[in-house]
Amino acid sequence: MTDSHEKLSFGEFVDLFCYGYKLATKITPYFLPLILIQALVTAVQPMQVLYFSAHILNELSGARDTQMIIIYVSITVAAAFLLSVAKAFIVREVEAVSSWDRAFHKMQMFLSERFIEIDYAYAEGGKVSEILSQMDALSRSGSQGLMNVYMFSRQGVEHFFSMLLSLFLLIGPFGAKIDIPSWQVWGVCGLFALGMLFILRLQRRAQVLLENNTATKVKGNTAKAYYINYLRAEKAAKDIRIYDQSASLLSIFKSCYDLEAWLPYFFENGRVNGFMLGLLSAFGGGFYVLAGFGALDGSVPVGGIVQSAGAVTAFATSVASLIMTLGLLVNNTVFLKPMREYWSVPDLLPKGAKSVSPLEMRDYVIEFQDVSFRYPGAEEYSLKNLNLKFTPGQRLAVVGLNGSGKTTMIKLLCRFYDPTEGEILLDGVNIKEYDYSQYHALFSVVFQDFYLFPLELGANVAGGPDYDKDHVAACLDGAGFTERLRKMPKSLDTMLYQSYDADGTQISGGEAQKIALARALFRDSPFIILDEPTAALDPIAEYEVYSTFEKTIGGKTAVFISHRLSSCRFCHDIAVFDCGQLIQQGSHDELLADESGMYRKLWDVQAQHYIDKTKG
Amino acid sequence: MDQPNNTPKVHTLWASIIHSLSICWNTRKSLLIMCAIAVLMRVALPYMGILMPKIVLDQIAAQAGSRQFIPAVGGIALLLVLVNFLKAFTDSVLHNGIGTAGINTFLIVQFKKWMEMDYELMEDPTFRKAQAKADKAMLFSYAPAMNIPRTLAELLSNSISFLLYAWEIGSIHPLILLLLLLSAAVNWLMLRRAREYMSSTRDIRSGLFGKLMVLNDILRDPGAAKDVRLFGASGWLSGIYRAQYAAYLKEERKLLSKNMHAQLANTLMILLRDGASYAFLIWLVLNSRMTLGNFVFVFAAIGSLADWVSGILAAASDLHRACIELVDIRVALDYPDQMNIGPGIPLPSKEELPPSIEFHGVSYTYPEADRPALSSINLTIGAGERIAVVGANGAGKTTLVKLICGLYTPTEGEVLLNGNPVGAYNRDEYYTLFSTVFQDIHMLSASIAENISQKPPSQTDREKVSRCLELTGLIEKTDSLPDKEDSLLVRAVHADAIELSGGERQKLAMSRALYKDAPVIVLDEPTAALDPIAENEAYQRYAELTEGKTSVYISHRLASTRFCDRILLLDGSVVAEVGTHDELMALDGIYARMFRVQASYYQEQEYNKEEAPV
Repeated sequence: MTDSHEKLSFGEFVDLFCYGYKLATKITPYFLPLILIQALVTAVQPMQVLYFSAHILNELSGARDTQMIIIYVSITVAAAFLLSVAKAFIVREVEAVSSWDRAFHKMQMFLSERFIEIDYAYAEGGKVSEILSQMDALSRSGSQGLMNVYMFSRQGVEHFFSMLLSLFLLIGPFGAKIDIPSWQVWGVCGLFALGMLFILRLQRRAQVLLENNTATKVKGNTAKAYYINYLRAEKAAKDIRIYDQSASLLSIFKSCYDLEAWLPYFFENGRVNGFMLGLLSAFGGGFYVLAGFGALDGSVPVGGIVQSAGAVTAFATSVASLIMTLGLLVNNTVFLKPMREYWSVPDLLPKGAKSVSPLEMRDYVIEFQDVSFRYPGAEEYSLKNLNLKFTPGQRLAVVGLNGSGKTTMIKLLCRFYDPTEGEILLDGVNIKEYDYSQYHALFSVVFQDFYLFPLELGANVAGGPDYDKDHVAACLDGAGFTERLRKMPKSLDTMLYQSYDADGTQISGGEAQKIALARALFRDSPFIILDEPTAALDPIAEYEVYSTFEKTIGGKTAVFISHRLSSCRFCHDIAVFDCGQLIQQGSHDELLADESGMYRKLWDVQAQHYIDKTKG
Repeated sequence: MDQPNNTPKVHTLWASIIHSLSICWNTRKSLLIMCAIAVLMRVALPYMGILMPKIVLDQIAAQAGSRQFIPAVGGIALLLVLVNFLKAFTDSVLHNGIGTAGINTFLIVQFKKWMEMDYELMEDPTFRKAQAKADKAMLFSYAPAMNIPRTLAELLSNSISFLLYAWEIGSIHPLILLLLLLSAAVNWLMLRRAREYMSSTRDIRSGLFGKLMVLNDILRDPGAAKDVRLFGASGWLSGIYRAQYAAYLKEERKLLSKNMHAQLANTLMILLRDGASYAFLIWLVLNSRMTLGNFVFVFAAIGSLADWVSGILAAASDLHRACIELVDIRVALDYPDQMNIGPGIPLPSKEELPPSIEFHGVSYTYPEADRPALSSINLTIGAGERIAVVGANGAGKTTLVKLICGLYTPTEGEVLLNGNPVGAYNRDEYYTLFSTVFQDIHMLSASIAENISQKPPSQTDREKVSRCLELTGLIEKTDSLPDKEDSLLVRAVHADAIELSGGERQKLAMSRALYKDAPVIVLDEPTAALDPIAENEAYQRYAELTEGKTSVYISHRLASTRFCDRILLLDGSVVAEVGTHDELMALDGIYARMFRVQASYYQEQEYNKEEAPV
């Protein structure tokens, strides 16, 4: 896990800071120009009112030239109107692009789209999931990370323009003509600077509290997310009751949702804001006293006092806010680290360019040559020196104890991982050299822990929204789903489950398995792999599936993994795995003949329950 | 099941406000006190802000000496410093504090509710709908229902300011006040239209928002990762996501346009108002009917009156929405339990255990289902008897065991334990009688030992844990681990946790059931993921494991039935066949057919590849 507490070097900091803007521009292309325009329009408004009202006041208190007054009033009212109209339009655009929730959802979309493209090894768990939950915790607690880049940039440029414009109203041709002894000005400014230093220290303290809380929160967040899901009816709600877990779970939740842990930060933040505003008003007030005092003898026009006092307050406010905002942007930069890490995890699987089409390739041979494999970070090999050949039209069954490497072999065959040692060849060429998605298209798989999307049934089977309905229906029929399909309210357009569409249809584990099977049949790919495809089916349904298999599989090469050895009887060839190695291979009869072999042992253990009973 | 008495209590607006104020008071009194201070400061600060130039100008006009000027202007400047400090401090603390206090309290209550309510109600669509509404109201700490005290303070300060300014302006000239009230009314109407649009489209927008969140869950589900890649579904999924986002943005833009129209109308209103009041005030000054100080003061007051109007409107509609959403939350939290959570009859004594279980005409229909999952079941499970339950997918096996465990209450009829209706026992005490292994296995993010004992390490009997691990055959796995049974589980939570395979999880769940050592054992497909050797060992030990207990065993592997005293075959929601294996084979019914289908694979003598089994 990345540690957001590490100090960044200056170079790293600049890099990361720029990265935030690069990414924001990628996600929301027009956000920078839009916020610049908005900030300018927003900052001009109060300044022009201040400038022209000062002139009106001067006229009123001095010459009282009605014509001039009318001109000034017309200008200020008209300018205010036009600026407000411009602002209304620009605000709509800015809000649509970079307001918190709009930008948040767009960022989430980009993150999710990235997740379905990264190498499988990352998606399976571990680092990338941790980065994601870290980012989630960060953006939910105070929007740290990319969300703050949006918010603070918007505020920052606005303060910057306010600062420039208020400076114009103090010095130069538009400046108020007032006269305060310079030692007084420097004195007030010096006090202001001291106050700012004090406040920045407070802000640093608040930041440390926030970082500490966020760090613990990130840790707590993964546990919390796990347990919130755990409570649900379809999850562990039964266990919670039968095994009386509620008290201990409640104490976990209480520690995750602890107001007391956050209050020190809230109060520190309150102090920062309180002192900040107090200081600003002291500065503005002090200036008022000085300027007003100088004007008591009537030497300075009253408009000048109002303009300069307003401009000074605005200047001080914008300088202070700009400093604070820049400080927040600087502090926020470190939180961009997980974001950059997420986008830059290195590719694990080299992707080749060699083309391979499932349609032309009916006759292919895949061969494992001396393949060994260790999961990333694991010490023990899951597969050791595996040599295995898949020939066209073969029916291969893979059997073995729990943890013998059967499913790992499938993951390598589908190239979710590359072998640690040895190589896998397709027609004599290392599979790394083929185009990745074309290679995937060679396989239809029902994984042991297959996943159906809570979307349309038909699209689930076809892997996308555009499909031949008859073909999908035929595949569902092949998987024994026809009767259930008739009961589906919108036939193939029925949404599965209720998580995405509340009007979706719930399906049982057995039904889901049939849909997964249909999905595998739909793909006209030369390889079909079934990992425990009937574990959730009752004996009759299982029989029906197996008895139609020969027909549905046709000339494809099929690989079965099953603990029910009965399913192997359909296969010409059986491979027996033990501790990551292939220990036996042959036909059922051959393997059964080897009385000391593992296969015989497995078979006898399972068959004994059936054989002597029916005879008895 | 009787129609649940779950009509929500009527919560008035006032009741909601008082409820959330009392939650805040009980969580942290200082937060509520700060709300009161914030109200005062929010009124005082802007008022003093426009008073200041007036005082300065008045002093200058009066050609005051420094003796009057410095205390008057300096005094108010100092006061402004204090007010500014207090306002910024309270605003900042309340901005996060109120919502956090609210959401932390409600979430804890909600989690407690989920863990302690009737299991059956959790699956009830009526409750689920209520809960979905409540979820929306508790999305994050800034949700309106979590911030009622803050919104109330907002409403109060805006209202007080409005009255104060109206009075000040009115006292200078009633005609201006009239003009202002008129423009404020138009302003109010414009904003209200935009607000109404916002609330009328809230459901649509939150629906779209919810879908985006679910899409994130789908796309980022590690369990989906293999299928997404292998079936090339990424284009399809991101197409759906992009279309959903576009639909969401379109709705949001409509809302933003409504706001913009209100803003534009408002701008026009301000143009007229400012033009007219400028002209009028200047006329007053030129005719010496008004001092410059008052001119500055009134002009500023006119500008802010519109803010108070829109502030009142925004706060009132936020408060209204917050109260509605708070009611949504409370309906879910107060959803009444149906089972006996009061004192029950005493559990059977040691001599009366293991218990017998009887079903008297029991039917069970899932809420909103059109036909019963089980109908008119009559059944007696003797004390210490081992029962196997078999049947096709969807025959009602799992429903039957949930009724036995007291997770469901029969729609009709009664389940009796040792002759007493299950409902006579206290619901939670009754659960102590059961050790269960369900099909879906869930682990605590704790050590293996804690997962088995379900107790913190200090209260875990290590020897008993080892014994249970040995009985289920998981000990070989734990012994191979560096931390043995102290190894942590659940990778999603602990980076250094170990990952158990499906078969190992089942062994873990079985060990946990043995550790609890309850008088009734309920096993729902406990060997589905075990390899043949492990499965066989489980069968061999079954008698030992269930010695002196009443047990119910569900399995699709009919071989398992031989270790049970009696087999119960469910078919089409009724008990179709009951008896020993031999009796049912002799009956030559559904059980016999199922058994033959499964057994035929293993009977090699008769097996012929060309011939279909059966």
